[in-house]
Amino acid sequence: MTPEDRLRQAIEARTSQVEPSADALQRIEEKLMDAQHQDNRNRLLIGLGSAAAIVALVLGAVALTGNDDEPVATDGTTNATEQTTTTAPTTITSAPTTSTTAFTPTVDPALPIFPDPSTSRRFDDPVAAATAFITDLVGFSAPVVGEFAQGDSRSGEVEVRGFAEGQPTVVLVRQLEDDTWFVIGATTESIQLAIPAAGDTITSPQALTGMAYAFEGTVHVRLYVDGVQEPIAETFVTGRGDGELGDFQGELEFTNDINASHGVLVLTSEGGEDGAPIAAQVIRVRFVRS
Amino acid sequence: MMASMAPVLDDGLSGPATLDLTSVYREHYRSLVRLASLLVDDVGTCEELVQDAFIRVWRRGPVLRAADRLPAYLRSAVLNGARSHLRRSATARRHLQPLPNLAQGQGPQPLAGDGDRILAALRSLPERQREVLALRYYLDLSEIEIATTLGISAGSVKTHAHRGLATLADRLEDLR
Repeated sequence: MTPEDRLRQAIEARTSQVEPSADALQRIEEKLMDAQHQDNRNRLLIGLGSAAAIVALVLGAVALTGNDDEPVATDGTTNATEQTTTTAPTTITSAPTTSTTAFTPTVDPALPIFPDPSTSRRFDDPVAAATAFITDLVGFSAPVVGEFAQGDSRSGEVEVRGFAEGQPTVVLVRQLEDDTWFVIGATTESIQLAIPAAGDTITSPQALTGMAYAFEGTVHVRLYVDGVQEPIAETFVTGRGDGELGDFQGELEFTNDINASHGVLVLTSEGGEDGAPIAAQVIRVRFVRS
Repeated sequence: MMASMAPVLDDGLSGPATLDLTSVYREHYRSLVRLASLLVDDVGTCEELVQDAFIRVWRRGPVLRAADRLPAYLRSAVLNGARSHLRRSATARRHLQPLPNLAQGQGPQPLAGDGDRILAALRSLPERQREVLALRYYLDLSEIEIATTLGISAGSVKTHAHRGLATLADRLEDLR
């Protein structure tokens, strides 16, 4: 019997055992109605939010215009009225002032890889977040970006390729703050980092072990610190170059004098005509803050 | 009572492009759960994956203007879900200690002969290879249909199938 016949037989044996539950259709209908109710609630909230924003803008504009009348308050006989009038602009003009103060992120820094949570850069679309991540941080030159595939209600993934026929890098995205999207990791079949793992605290010299295949077996490793655009350390590790996963081991040396709690470790295989990255694994790491 | 509220694929069209949930369910649900069961052991999880795929498809009705795209779209959604589930499980296994008191999922019955080991060998293949082989040997899809489902070229389908079968043949040789 050929391997194909044996495989077909095993598949037939397995699948014939599987029978859906009797209430599956009802469960789909219930879930669908829940989802539709959630959509309606979201639309309502967006509508209310938009209306509130418009009202705030109008009030702000009115208040700013009203500010021109402040000199009238010198008349002592209308003191009570003037006090009321001057209070309104003071309150309302505080809104624009808020937008110019230092940005204060509310997102837990342990999770997001991109955008840097300490900046004000945000994405309201998961595909836009994945695209910016793969070009700005990872360095793909002409990514082919797939559709967003929803996971749970606040997360999902976007497949990205270095070129049309290329191997996918799966960019994991999640809504973390005010429903804006962050990249929380990226994986690819050809680079499988075992040590360090996502969320690990790393110190120099940091051991790197895992399995990979890449052009000439070479995997490029970069370490970034939050708030710094250039990598603070780089090295290469070598897996296999023949399309089969091969073990790699290496070390990454960097200064332990880091004034940040988190960073990002980026492993890429490179190829194509321009030598740009074509596949990546990216994880969040912690530092022992100096 | 639920049947009376059964949603209809409202894609802005009328007539033949409008499909009702019940008929799509009857035609595709079982085969999709069985397809998922080739990749994920727990049948309850397989059902969740397929149900989520239905929900996603329904909420994106306009995408389904051509009803003949529906099977490929559903298959694709199920495979995406299975892939994500397996990755999350792998991540959880790396990060979490096993919890011995957790109730075990609804696993399949052992297969006769070396069926279980063949399926284990299938599942140990790289993602694309095992998906290509599952679509080919369970659903008997053509290379073009598999390519459409997975969003890759027919050439890539051929390559993944060839490599997957070669690896499987090596491993099955070990099983003799």
